[in-house]
Amino acid sequence: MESLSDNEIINRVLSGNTRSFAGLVERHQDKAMTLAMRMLRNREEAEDAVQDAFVKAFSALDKFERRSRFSTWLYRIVFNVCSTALSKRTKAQLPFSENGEEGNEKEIPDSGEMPDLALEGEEFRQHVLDAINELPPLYSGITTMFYLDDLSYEEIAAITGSPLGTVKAQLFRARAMLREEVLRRTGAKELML
Amino acid sequence: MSHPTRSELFEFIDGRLEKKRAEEITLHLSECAQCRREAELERSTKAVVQSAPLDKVREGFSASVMVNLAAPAGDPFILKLLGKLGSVVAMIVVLAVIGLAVVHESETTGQPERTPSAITQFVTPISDLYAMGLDRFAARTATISRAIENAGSPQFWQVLFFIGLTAGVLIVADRIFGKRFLRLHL
Repeated sequence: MESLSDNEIINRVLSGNTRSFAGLVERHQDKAMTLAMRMLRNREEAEDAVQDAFVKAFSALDKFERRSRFSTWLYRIVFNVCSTALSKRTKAQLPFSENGEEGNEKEIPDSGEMPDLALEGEEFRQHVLDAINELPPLYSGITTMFYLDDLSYEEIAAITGSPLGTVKAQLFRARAMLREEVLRRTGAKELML
Repeated sequence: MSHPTRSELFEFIDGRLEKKRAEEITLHLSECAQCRREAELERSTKAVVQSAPLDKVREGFSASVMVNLAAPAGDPFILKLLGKLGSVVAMIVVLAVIGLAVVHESETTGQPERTPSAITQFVTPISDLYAMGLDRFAARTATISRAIENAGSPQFWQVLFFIGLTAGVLIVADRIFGKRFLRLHL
C-alpha cells in the first residue's frame, strides 16, 4: 500500500476496496492532526476533528475532482471541521473578514545596533513552537499549512475559501505576529518594530 | 537601495519574488546588517516550524476511523455500470423481471386467467406478518426456503422475482434519492 500513490488508493476505494482507505488515513493522519492541534489546541478535540474529517472525506471521495492533491483537499475538510469547532467557542474565532493590510508595505526601519540572537538550538526552537501556539487559532492554522506542506497562497485560499488577497494579508500578519512573539520570548525587544 | 518591505522580505525568503527584485534584495542584504538579521530570523523561524515533529494520533486511530465509515464512497458498482441512464435501465430491468415472472407462471399453470397477481403473491408474506401473525409468516418463509431448494419450480421463479423486485426498487431509490441502500461494490 505504501508504494501506491494517493490517486491509486482512491481508485481502489472507489472501485469497492473500501479497506484501502486505511492507507490514506495512515499516510495523512499526522499532518491532519498537526493542523487540527494548531487550531484547536486540545488533543481530544483535535482527534475527533481529524476523525470527522476522514469520515467526511470518505463519504465525498467520489466528488474529489483531483485538481489538487488529496492532502490539500483533506486539509480543507480538516480546516472546515476545526473552524466549525472554533466558531462554537465564543472568543477563539478570529474573523476572516479582517484584511490586515496595514504594515505590509512599510520598509524595515533602521534600529541601530541589534543583539546577536541565537537562531539555532533547542531554546530557540522551543520559543518558536511556543510562539506559534500563541497565534490566533486560524492564523496558526494557515501558517502551519503554509510552512508544513509548502502550500501556495492559491492553495490556502482554496482551503480556507478566502480571496487570495485576504490570504496573503492574513499570512503576512500571522508571520509578523509570530516574529514578534519569538522576539518577545527571546528577549530581543530591540528588534520588535 | 532602500530597505525592502517586510512583505517583500517574506516573499524573497519564500522564493516567490520576481527575479529582478530578488537580485536587488540579495545585494541589499549583503550590505545591510539590519535586513540580514531580519532575513535570518525569518529563515530560522520557518526552518523550525517546517522541521517540528508532527502531532501523532493515538494508537489504533486509523482502525477507529474505518469503523466509523458509514457509507461507501461512490455509486454502487451496478449503478456505475448502468451509467447516467441507470434509473431508466434499472426500471426496465425490474419491469422485465416482473413480466417474465408473470409469463412464466402463466405458462407453468396453463391457467393465466386464474393466476393471482404476482405482486399480491409476493407482498403476501410481508402482509401476513402483520395480519395473520408470526406463525403464518414463518410458514410462508419455510415455503420460500423449499422453493429455493427446488430450483426451476414456479415457486423458485416467484422467489427470484421477489428478490429482483426488491433489489430493483432499492437501486432506483438509491439513484433517485442519493441514498446508499446498497453496498454493491463487487
